Amino acid sequence: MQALLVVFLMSVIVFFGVNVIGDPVHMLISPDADQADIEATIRRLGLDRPIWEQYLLFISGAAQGNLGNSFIFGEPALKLILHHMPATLELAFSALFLAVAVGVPLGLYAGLYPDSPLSKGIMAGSILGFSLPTFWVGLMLIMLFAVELGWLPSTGRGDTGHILGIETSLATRDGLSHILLPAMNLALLKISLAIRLTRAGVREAMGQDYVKYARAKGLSTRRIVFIHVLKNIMIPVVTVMGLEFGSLIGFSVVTESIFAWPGMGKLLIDAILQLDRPVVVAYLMIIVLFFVLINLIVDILYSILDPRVRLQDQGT
Amino acid sequence: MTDTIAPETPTQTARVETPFRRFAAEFFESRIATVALCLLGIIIVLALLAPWITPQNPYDLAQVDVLDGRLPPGSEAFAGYTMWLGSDGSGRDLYSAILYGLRISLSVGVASGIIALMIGMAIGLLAAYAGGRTETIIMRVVDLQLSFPAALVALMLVAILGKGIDKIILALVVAQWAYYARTVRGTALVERNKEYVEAAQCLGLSRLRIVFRHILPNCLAPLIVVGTVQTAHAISLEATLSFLGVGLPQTEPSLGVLIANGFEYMLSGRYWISVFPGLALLLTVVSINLVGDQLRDVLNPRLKK
Amino acid sequence: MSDVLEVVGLRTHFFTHAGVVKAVDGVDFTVRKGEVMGLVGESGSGKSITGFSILGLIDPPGRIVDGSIRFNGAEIASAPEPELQKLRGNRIAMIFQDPMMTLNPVLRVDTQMIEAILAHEDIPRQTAWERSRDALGLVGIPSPEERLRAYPHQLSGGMRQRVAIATAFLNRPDLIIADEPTTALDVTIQAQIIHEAQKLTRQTGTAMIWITHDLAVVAGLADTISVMYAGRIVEQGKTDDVIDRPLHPYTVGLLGSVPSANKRGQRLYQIEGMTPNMLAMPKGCAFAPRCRAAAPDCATAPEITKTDGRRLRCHHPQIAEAAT
Repeated sequence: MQALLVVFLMSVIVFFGVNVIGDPVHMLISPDADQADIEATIRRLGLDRPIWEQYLLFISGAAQGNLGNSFIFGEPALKLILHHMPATLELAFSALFLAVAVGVPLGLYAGLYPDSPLSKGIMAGSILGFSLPTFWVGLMLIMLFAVELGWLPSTGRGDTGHILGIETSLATRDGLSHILLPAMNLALLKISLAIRLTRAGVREAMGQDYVKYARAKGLSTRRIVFIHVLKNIMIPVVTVMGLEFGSLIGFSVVTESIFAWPGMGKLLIDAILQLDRPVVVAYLMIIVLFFVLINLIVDILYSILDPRVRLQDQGT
Repeated sequence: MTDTIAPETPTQTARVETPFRRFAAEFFESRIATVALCLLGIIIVLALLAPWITPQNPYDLAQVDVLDGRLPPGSEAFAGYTMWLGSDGSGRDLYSAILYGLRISLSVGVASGIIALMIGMAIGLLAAYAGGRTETIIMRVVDLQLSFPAALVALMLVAILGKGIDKIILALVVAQWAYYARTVRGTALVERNKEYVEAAQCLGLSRLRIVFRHILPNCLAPLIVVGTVQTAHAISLEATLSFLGVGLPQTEPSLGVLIANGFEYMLSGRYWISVFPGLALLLTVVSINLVGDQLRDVLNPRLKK
Repeated sequence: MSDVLEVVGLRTHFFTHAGVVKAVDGVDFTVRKGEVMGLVGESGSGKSITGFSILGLIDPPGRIVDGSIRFNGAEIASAPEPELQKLRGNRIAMIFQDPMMTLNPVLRVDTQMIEAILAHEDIPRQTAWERSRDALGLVGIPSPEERLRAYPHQLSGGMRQRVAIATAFLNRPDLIIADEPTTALDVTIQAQIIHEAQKLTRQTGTAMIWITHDLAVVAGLADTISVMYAGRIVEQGKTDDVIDRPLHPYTVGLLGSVPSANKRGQRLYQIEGMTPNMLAMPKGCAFAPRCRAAAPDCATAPEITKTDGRRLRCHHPQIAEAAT
């Protein structure tokens, strides 16, 4: 219910944003069109009708999956976005994986040994990770690994292969070498976040009675850390990191532009620069849907992870 | 009314004096924060003095020579001065361009920060004090917006609004007001349940007076902290948008625009065109963040032992 | 009967920024096989720290600075961590105060019981599960199979504490340290839990240290009582002796503040003042500032004196007053 409301609100905002603040004729019609074309399009798009009627038209079109045609490609905008989506998803998933795979162990270490120099280094690094603008880190990665060292390619997606019928760069060596830098770039902010979350969680959990009790039972440190503590901190970590997946897709706009990654973020920037408005609108609607979907999934994940929530739900 | 407040005035000024000194002393306890504050001061002074301490106005076409283009750091310009940081694609002295760019980046960040703070504060106070349905609706909107990353909100807006310094500021304000609103409302909620607000109500003070004389001052500390961090964020966000080519136009070259201009040369090894403006951006953002971190530690009574 | 535990001159200090906190400052006692010792004192008297010291669970900035802890004849105060780990939960088990906090909220009861067995014995999981089930039955938990599958928050406080007690007895330890195990529970549940614990110690011959601030609780449970004040034992003896003829003014005060039937109508006694600041201990007898019998000689710290199997740290034993 809430989710539907959000989608509805966003459609209103996006629609009126594009059609009221800007000049819809200039926005929705290719600049190359001649006068007759313009008038025909105005009629076709119903721009001569009252604004609320236009909105209904837009919404009924959107409900049928029709968000208009791209000026540049002449294809339906939605199809264009969906075509570019796998590349973005693959990048975002890789970044999320990196964030958890790198951030959680580092955060765990920093939480268990807060006074060690390495932990202080990790925390300083995470502050830096928060402060550095993503695009700047991307530039530095390219300069270091692509230009100076020449180890990794800096643009494009590389060869793709198939895993479970999905075309992906993760299936080939070349593809992997292409995805490494952009994924690192996209992951950096989330690595910092994962480090902080995990460290805070570990610090809190280690002071809890249940840890002392586990020690009093004679459990090994390994079991205490990896079962008792980790299972507790995974709840906030998974929840927050899951919610951050949406922001990864959002931020991939930046990373994709720098690394010429052919995803929907790059498509968006190109569309903005070329005034390809239908694609922009379609992208925004898709992103909103994404966020709503992610919130739902995270809610479900949360209830799976936390027995307290799970059983309460069953009870009510 | 007046005579109840008047005798208090001298003690009040005395009280204001001591906490400030204690606050300053605590702030400078951290060496990193002190260095960051000094650095930030230098950056601001350099940006303010740019026209008087740079060899050229990089956007006065009469002073720029295309023949000076892409010179490495330390080269001598046609006009005779040394380009310590090299020059960019169109022959602008990078040192000059960076200082001018800093002016734009800082003003966009600070302006959007202040406007967002004002709007967010007003809305937050309204929510906290109106209560009831108004509060619920406002906070719903705030939560909704905060569930989207600010970068995406700003990007959406510039996609709709187009380029230009006013539009960027507007986009940044819209992307950030919710953070301030949440902060103010949170603090105000805590404050309005305290006894002194009740006491003030019993004295028959008007609501408006309670909000401005009693609640607002208590929100200031967290607002300063959020404001610092958000301003850094705004600067970084503006640079990102400008880098993507959807932010400021070439005629308003912020640091982000300079970095974007240098990007195409970077793959051919002319690193300086992007790297030096980037370093300037980095130092600015990191020093503001470090100052903000320390402010939070000093101003947040809960963290004090 | 042989000594299970012998603690001599135990000192556990915490080295904080503000100074050294001598939480435990010279504690001696022995617990014999199958015996229950009540360790009584106000909060902050160091009784819990004493318990944790025995298990080697003192975290920095605290550490055992002096003294000996002999368990079944072996010195464990300075034993290396792996050896202590083998003892914990196996030969010496511990029950904590708050059952809401001690069971891990995200792990099922069976996981938390079975791991306590498997940490010390290499037996099939199924066998460990059966033993856990039987242990739950022993502490009076109905339908233990079902409870094993539950998460802690699905159990009541009393039920959780029974789980903790069952877990403590899982490996048939020689000694159980119970740190205020009934403080967080309702009075009726409290009595049941004490009953279960007592029954099990009898059956298994397990010795127990029952830490509490409530003399009334240990009066019916313990064989011996040690009263702690400000990190030191101030009085020690057989339960009946201590309850009937308290010698230390502090014990007298504690007994006086227990509401009991034969003093109906009489005003409850209250020990004046507060436990001393552990950072700024008074010179001499730590209790002197609150003591009704304090005299000038209390400015020097009294040593332990032994008479008829009782031990006392006081210049002015309260024999006369207790008789009234």
